[in-house]
Amino acid sequence: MSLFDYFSRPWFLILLLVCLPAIFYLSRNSLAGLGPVRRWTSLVLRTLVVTFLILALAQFRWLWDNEKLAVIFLVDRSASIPAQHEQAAVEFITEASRERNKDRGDAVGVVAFGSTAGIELSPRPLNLPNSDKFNFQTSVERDYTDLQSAMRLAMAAFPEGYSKRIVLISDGNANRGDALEEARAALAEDVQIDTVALRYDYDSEILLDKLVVPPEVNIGEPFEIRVVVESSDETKAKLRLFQNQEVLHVEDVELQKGRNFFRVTQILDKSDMYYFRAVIEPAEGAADAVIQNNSAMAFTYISGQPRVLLCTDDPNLDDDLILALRDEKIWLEVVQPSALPIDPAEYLQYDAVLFSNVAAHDISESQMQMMENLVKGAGIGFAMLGGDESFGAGGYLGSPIEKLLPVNMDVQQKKKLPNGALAIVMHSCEINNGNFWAKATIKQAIEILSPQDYAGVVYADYQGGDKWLFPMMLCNRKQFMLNRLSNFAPGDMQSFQGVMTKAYKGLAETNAAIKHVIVFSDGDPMLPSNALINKILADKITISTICMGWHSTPAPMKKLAELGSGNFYQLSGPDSLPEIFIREASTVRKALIEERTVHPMVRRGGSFLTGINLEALPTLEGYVITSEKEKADHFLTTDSHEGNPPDPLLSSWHYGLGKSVAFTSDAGRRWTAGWTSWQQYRQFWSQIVRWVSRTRSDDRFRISRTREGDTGIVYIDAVDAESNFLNGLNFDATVITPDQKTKGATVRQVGPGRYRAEFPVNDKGVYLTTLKYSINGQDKVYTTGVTIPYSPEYRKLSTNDNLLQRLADTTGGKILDEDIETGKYESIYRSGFNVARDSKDLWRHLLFWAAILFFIDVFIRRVIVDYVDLAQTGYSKVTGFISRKKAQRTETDDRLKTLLQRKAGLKHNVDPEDSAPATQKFYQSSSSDEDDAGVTMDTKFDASVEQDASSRPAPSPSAQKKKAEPTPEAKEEDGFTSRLLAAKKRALKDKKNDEQ
Amino acid sequence: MNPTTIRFLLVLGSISLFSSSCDSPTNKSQALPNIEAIIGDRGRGEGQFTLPRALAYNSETGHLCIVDRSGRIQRFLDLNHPAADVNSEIVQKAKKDFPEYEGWQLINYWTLPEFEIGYPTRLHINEKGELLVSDTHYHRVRRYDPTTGTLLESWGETGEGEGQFSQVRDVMWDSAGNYYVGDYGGVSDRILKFSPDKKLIKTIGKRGSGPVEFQRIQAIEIHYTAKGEETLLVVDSCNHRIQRLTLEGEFIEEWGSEGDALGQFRYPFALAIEPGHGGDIYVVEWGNNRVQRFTGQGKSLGVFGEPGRKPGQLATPWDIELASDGRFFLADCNNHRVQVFRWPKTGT
Repeated sequence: MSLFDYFSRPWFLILLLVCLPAIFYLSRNSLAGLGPVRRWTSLVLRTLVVTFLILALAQFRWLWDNEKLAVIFLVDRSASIPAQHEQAAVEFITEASRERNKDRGDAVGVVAFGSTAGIELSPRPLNLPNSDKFNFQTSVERDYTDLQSAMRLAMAAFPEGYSKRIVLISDGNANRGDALEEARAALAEDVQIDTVALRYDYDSEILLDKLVVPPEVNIGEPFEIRVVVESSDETKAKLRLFQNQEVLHVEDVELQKGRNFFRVTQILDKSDMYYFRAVIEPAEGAADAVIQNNSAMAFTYISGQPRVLLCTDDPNLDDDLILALRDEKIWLEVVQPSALPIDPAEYLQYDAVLFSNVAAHDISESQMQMMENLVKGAGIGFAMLGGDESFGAGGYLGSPIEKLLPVNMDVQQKKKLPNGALAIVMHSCEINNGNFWAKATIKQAIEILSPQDYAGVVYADYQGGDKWLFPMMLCNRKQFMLNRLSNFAPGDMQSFQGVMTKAYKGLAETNAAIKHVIVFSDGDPMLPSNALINKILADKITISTICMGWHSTPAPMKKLAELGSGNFYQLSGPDSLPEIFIREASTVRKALIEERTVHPMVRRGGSFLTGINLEALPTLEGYVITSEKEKADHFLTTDSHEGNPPDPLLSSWHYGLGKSVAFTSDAGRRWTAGWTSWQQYRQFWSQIVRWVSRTRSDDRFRISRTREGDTGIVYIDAVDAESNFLNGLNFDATVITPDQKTKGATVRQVGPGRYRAEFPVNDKGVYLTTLKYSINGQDKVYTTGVTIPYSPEYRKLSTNDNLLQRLADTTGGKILDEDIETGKYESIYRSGFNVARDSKDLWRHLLFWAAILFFIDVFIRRVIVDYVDLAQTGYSKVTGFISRKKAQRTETDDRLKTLLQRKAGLKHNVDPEDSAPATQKFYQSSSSDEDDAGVTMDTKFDASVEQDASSRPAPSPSAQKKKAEPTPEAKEEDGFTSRLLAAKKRALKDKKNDEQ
Repeated sequence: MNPTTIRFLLVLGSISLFSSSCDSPTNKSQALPNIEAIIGDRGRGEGQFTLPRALAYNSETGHLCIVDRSGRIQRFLDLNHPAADVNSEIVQKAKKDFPEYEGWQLINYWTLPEFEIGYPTRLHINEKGELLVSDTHYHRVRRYDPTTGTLLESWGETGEGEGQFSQVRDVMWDSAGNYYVGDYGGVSDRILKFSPDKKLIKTIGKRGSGPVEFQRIQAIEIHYTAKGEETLLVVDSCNHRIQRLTLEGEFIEEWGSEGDALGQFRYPFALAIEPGHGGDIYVVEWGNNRVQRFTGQGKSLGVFGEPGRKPGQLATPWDIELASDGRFFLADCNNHRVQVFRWPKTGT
């Protein structure tokens, strides 16, 4: 360690070179008036103060090396690891933990991983539990292997003050993340990675590698369905082929070791989307180690007239629209939200999707994202029709759907903004991952509220009882609200009374048009009182409840929702939580619905309004308030009302490769009942739908798709109408991945008229590929897809020694396989690691002592104290005090003795004259002693003595005689007393002099 | 003394006061007992806890059983207990395998067969040294041999009918061997009295706020009055009070109301009673993060404890156990530990 390791900002030390000489120089004059001791003392103190300050500025810290080692066992639990290997790993790590160097204080911990990772046991200087008591408690997703995330978590789990080593127990088949990149990060943090390879050999394994069909065929055109099967050895199996879930072909096959190819010819006779699935099953008696890789899927379609998908909450209410479009020869398929396709490939058969009063909570976030990707990246058209569950009232604020529409859900143009208020009562601490779900659901709810809505979250906290996470406030501070969520950890709750009281008071103070409470709990707390519920209902506040993870019965939560005129949800798992929160939060967005008679105003004409007599547009009785997007085209608006500007009614725009339309009223339902009898109703809607629909490419390109390892490939054979190769085309390819991300793909010409697009395929699912190109100045789009049937976990069934070796080499670690086989577990704890360095910041302590020394310095310079004299005075005070005490005792003893003598004398009829002088002497002696408390006593005593004396018989002559001559003792006493008196006088005098 | 000196001393004094007050917790209540040990820390390893809720201490042997959210019952031994044989094979083996916390050695533990939807809220040691477990969310009472974790008996079934359990919050027994089960959940809030052979004798109370009505029974204890009468003390948590009943369920008295003043409660959760007739009563308050001590007649003697994470501070404590030597143990739930306290010798 060098000197500069001790400082975070060492360049501040330069100030020492400047400040210290300056102190010496300046002190020459400023301290000149002081004595040498004070001068030098002050100088030293000043130097120390400045030095400490500079060291604090330089952030001085103390460093020391720490030889303790922390080992984290990183255990692979992904799907590729057989169960018996997982058990073997447990036995290994529990045994290995016992070999740790206890004297050195080594610690061990466990992290398990698949595609996610979790800390099983934080590192502690303790053995792991015995293997029969060790159970993996963290749940990890196993479909993939993300070594990078696992290593990152393990590095974050190391405790401070330890050197670090990871022992990775895995087959090395990482199919997510970049493990080597993380290894380099580990090296930078002095973390070594040892590896233990999990090896498995499957004796018998059958794997369905590919199912290949053309992306598009013609009616009546024969085409081949090709199946590729891999087998580890010769065996028998059964091949089944399904078309749209119906059995197409079944065949008993004999598999050779290696790759086996099968073909089935098929002819289709109508335009539709066709899904094919192939399954290979081992014959009876034959073995197959892994069954998850025994099936594959592919699709093709036959194109025909334009197809439109209408998604509606109630098909019966859209009868007029459906009839109108079909009469206009538009091929229409009608579904409800629950049947809306979730596979993007299924949308390839449609040219447009219409939503009629579909609420955001009725479809998933991923479906909304998929819709946006399909419009933007695949050119499919989208139109939203109004209703009480559409647009902002349907909870689409901030959603991907809002992005692709030509209007905003957020409304700013009104004088009185329609708003709602939402209070969320959160009691999730006993639910699995309760904190995570609390944050996720609150975030969902807040994001669909508009800036003029109110929101607040109330919970129970162990320190302060019932609390607001943030009180009812306008949602124009969403970032503040989300920041408050970051450390949110709701506590346990015994009763809803307190939190509901807070929620009620908060809602009552808002001026919102709609007020709603969502209660999320496991149902344990006591219900609020009837009195409180009555108050809530009187204020027209509704209550919905969501019960999850209940311990006994959800009945109380159901009762609360019934009393609150809200909805009750009973969930066994969290999957639908976000949608439910969106649905419930949307309740407060109903203020966006405007119901009145509206005369549509024409702002401008459009291509899809050609031939429509816009002056004859019927009135409508309601719509959903939205606001215009600047770059969109707004054709129809509402009329002005109560001083407010018009609201959009019919708008459109281009979004990526596709188009979208927004009509904020409905299409022949409650609000436009009068439109169905309008002569141009069918023309109006058919023109809108045709305009928004995708225009397909009519070029006769031949497209094929395949996969090579982790790469998806699309081949395009481009020919013109005369079958000449089309060379030099610029294809712009985008891929929508199964997790709804849009990525670019590289396309290059690989032969005459032949082009190849390729992109990585790491996840299972459909990769929707859109190829945009231009011929003769005309833009065209072609969309197809590559299907990955199962996770690569089930494909790579051997150990990746290469990766394991590289991880160890990169970090200076070791392959432990041999050591494990020979039982040398102690090599895990070998030295040769980079010793951990601990540090402690000392700048606070330096600042503190600088302040103390500064004040001492001021005292030294400003306060003149003759320390010698002080010491002497102190000494004399102490000794004087002791002496006085002694003298008091002596004086008291003497006085007592005198009194006793006097008493004795009086008893034996001593001549009164003898007593008088003694009394007088005692009085005299006492009268000169100001401190003597015996003055009073003596005075009393004198009186009594005198009285006694007067009442006493006269002393005898002998006594008188005796009295006349003082005794030798009396003489001695006189001398002592005189000396004492003199000493006292001197002391008093000195004291007075001192004071002067 | 000249003014400069006075000023200097004032400044020094201020610095001292400031620095001494920087780290000290603000004590809202008088801290009386001293911490003797802290058992456990947060985690799922051996000797660690996640939200420990219930304790049972065997004063004769020095063993302390603790249950937490991981579904384990862990059994510790006080190595300083007179009956503790630290050289025994069991203890020596435990020292090799398990951690020790400030004189408390983990001896053994076992995992309950079911705990996913909830875990027990009360433990008791009976006269035979067996462990009675109120297996709350599984609607049953279980009896274990704590030395081995062997299940000896299990009784109870779910339901709100006669003799059925919704959530077993506590189970206590009287001198005649009758059992009193505190049941809460759904629409029920009652005490079920069973004979020693588990036959239902009667149902006591219902949901409400009046006498012999309850809102969330959290604990039941047997308390002998000064006159030697055997009574039931019921921790009526959401009514923020303690009720005293006869063994037949007749109302005798109650004390407490919601608040944090002396004599008030905020979600009392458990009781511990000094042995003997009219013994003092300790009440742990989940909501106030403190322990309140009462005479046997229900007069508050004072409180200690405050919310926080430091030693001596509490975070939603759930349970309290008294040892015969005057120590007491607190299940400091949200701090994931058990704290052992002892009254100082100078006074109580």
